[in-house]
Amino acid sequence: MSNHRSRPHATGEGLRREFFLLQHIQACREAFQYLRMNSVIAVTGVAMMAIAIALPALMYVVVQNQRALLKEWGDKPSLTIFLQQNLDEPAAIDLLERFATDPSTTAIRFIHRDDAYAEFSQSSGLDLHAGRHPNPLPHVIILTPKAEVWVVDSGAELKRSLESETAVDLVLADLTWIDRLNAISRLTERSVTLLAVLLTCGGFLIVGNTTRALVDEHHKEIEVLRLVGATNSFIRRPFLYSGIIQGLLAGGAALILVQLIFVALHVPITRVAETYLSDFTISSFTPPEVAVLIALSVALGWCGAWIGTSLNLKTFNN
Amino acid sequence: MISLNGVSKYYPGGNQGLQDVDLAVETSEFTFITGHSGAGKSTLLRLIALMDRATHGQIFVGGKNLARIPIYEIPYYRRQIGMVFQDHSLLPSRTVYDNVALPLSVIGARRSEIRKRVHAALDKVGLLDREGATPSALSVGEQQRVGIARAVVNRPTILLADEPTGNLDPSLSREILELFHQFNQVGVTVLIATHDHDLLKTAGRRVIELRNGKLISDTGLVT
Repeated sequence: MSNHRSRPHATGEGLRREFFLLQHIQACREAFQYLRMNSVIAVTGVAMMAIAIALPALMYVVVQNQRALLKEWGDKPSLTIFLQQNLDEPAAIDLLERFATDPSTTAIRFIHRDDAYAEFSQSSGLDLHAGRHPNPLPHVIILTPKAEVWVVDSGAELKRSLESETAVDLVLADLTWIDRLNAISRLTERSVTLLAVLLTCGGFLIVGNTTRALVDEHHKEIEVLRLVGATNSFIRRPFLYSGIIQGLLAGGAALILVQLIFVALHVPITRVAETYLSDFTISSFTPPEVAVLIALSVALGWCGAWIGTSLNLKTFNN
Repeated sequence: MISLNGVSKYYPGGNQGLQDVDLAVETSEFTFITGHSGAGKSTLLRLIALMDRATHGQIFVGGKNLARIPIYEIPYYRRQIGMVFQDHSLLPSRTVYDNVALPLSVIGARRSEIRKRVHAALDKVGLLDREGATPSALSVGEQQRVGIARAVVNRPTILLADEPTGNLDPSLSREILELFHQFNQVGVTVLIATHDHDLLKTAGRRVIELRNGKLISDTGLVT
């Protein structure tokens, strides 16, 4: 018998390239044809896959925004030091200079009791001078220590040290809520990861099932192809392309879904931010993230189709 | 060319396809395999085409022991064999041209080469003017001729046909048989499974008869 593997006039690198390209163009064309012929199965599969991708993608963006928010709020936490009410200005300035020279201090600000009083009067609308009351407010120092201070004990030691100063009346450092928010953030991230794994498995099953349905629809065709000498990879190729196309469409649809959700949430989130005097705005995917999402969707489609086709091809005799 | 040594085939459930069959078919020989329904004709062709594996015995084709051909080599082996079926096994969604081109697409033939060979095969079976039609637009006889064109387009060395005239009237059957004769004349080994006794009588070729999976008669080589 002659050489089985030879093809008519297939010699040289150029021809091999042409052969490779033609096979793939043909497979791609067939994939579109398969999907068009089974449009209901394909559309349903793409929609389900899009939702499976959109959910973890949405949560990923939520986590990213949460991180940005935490960074904005928690990057430079500071301590508010209320000095003794009867402490005069020179003594307060002395204390300020001493704190400022401390190596653990990164920033420090002094609020004069008169300035604080004026600001309070303005914001409250009350003129306490009119009632001949003395200024009840103390001098205040806003101290921003180095980040390491928070890492060890959330600043508790520093707070205790400051409170031990006789000139200090009260130190406020309510950072517990930031710790809690950080803990919730970590919990959210872990949940998103687990959810992403679960939904990825779901995505595999969806594409695998759609591919299985496509293979079933083309059972007769596959049988004929096998009889005329088609290899498994030749038979599998159009189905893999259909998986890639589904992945691409599902990735695009997932992006649109996430964007629509963001549009719907933008106004309420901005309002919440405004109540915290923050100019925080929700941000969506960056271009590299879009590329990664699409690439992952395509990979998901390809893998699902590969598994779906391979399992089905095993049901054929020889 | 093709030899079977003590070949048996058992199907799951205990059904016997073939039982201890010894047979030799020479290169370029034209052979009929006959017998009642379930005699083992189709099983014999399926074993030669490696659509099934023998339970016992050895089959050699072109000097190759089929039992030693691994699964991944089967497609390459099948490219040397043309197969024609009673139900034609045409793809309804593809045109006549595309159906015939299938074996060439599979091996990655160039488009110009495919066109040339498909036209030659369709010309041979007299359907060149129907290349754009889908199988549903063809008569049963025409569909069978498309099936034959597809089987020979890749210039196989062996042509296996399972009841190729099963659905055809006598005059169409003779036409189809004539096509097989023509391919045989250019050196193709032809094995036709049929229970059409009229066809056997008119053909005047070697006839192997099977009954219940056993080879019961062989007229031997007819020259």
